[in-house]
Amino acid sequence: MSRRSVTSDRAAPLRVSPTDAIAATALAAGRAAASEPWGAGLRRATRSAMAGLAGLALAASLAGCSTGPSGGGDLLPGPVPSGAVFTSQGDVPAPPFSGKLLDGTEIELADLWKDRPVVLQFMASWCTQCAEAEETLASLRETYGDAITVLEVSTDENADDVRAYLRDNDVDVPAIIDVDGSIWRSYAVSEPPATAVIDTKGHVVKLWAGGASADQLEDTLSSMITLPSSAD
Amino acid sequence: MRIRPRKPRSQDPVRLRPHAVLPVLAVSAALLAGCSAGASDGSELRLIVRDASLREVGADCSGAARYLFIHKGAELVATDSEGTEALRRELPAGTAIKADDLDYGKAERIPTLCSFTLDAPGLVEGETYTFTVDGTEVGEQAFEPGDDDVATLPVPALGDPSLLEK
Repeated sequence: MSRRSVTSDRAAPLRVSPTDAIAATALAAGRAAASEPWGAGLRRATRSAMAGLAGLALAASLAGCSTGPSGGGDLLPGPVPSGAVFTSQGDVPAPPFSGKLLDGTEIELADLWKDRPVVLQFMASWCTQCAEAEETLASLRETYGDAITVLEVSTDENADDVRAYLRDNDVDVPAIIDVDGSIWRSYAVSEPPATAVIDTKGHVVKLWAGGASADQLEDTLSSMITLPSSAD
Repeated sequence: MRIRPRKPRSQDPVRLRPHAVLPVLAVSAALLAGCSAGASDGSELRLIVRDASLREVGADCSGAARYLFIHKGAELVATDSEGTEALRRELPAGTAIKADDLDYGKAERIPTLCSFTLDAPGLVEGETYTFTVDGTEVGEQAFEPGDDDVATLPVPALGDPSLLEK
């Protein structure tokens, strides 16, 4: 199946393994000690080790920044599971929107629902109920995997606040910031959380102000999605 | 001639005579008492967003729609009539309270207001303050704690019923 038409202007993240940094530190210290008289070599080795440790701290902090959920395009689902069958249930057209994910990946809502049902989660980084709802969404992704797309739609002004929220709550789905509030208004969302389910015809099946419970989402999605059984 | 270095003033021993200390303490106590007269060190401020949004009573909330900027972590500032900042507090999560006394049956989500309660030390009873949340003015009113020592700041402000009679 052809992949959704998304483009990314995201730069490759800087990834430094802590074990690499430790090895580099030890290597630098060892080289310094081997080529010098005992006292000078020891001092140089100590300096090298200190510099290496500083580098290690920097590398660790950079690694910390580059790992964990980022809300970017790399978190969009992969190919739709073969054999998955979707039924359409809604009759209200989902308000269209486009925008950029947190890493700059451009998306169109229509590109998302044409392949599989979409769950929109309207949230804010300061919303306590939103954080509690993330567990429900995580278990949903565990059940349906690539058969659904979950997209966080944030009302925050600061992308770093959203990144911190995603990281703190282990949210590994793409996220978009509704800069001018137009997406929220078009879905009549006045306060987070809220959850909307869109079928593969681009219709809103359900919209829950206050957010959907696990049972509500499961009831709705199970009636829309037939997954291939494990015996197939 | 050899100049003997002077001992720094800070190292001079402090000697206080009891008969000199007592008046100082008395004046200080009087001044402190004067400063705290009218200040509401034990009072609280309850900011209530009158958005009538449908929520479960008791649930965490923020202001809804145009009051979305009133949320946990936003900063409330009270400024007195001379422009001096009298209070700066980060809002806690709001709590949904019933908007009216109507019976909505088994409905889980009913019309509610979002209430934020915070301590308000230093606000003087009867003094008028301008209140802002994250830089947006939300009201100007006198700080008048009730019997429960809580002053209410409705947002938007309540209308003046007497205006209807004119």
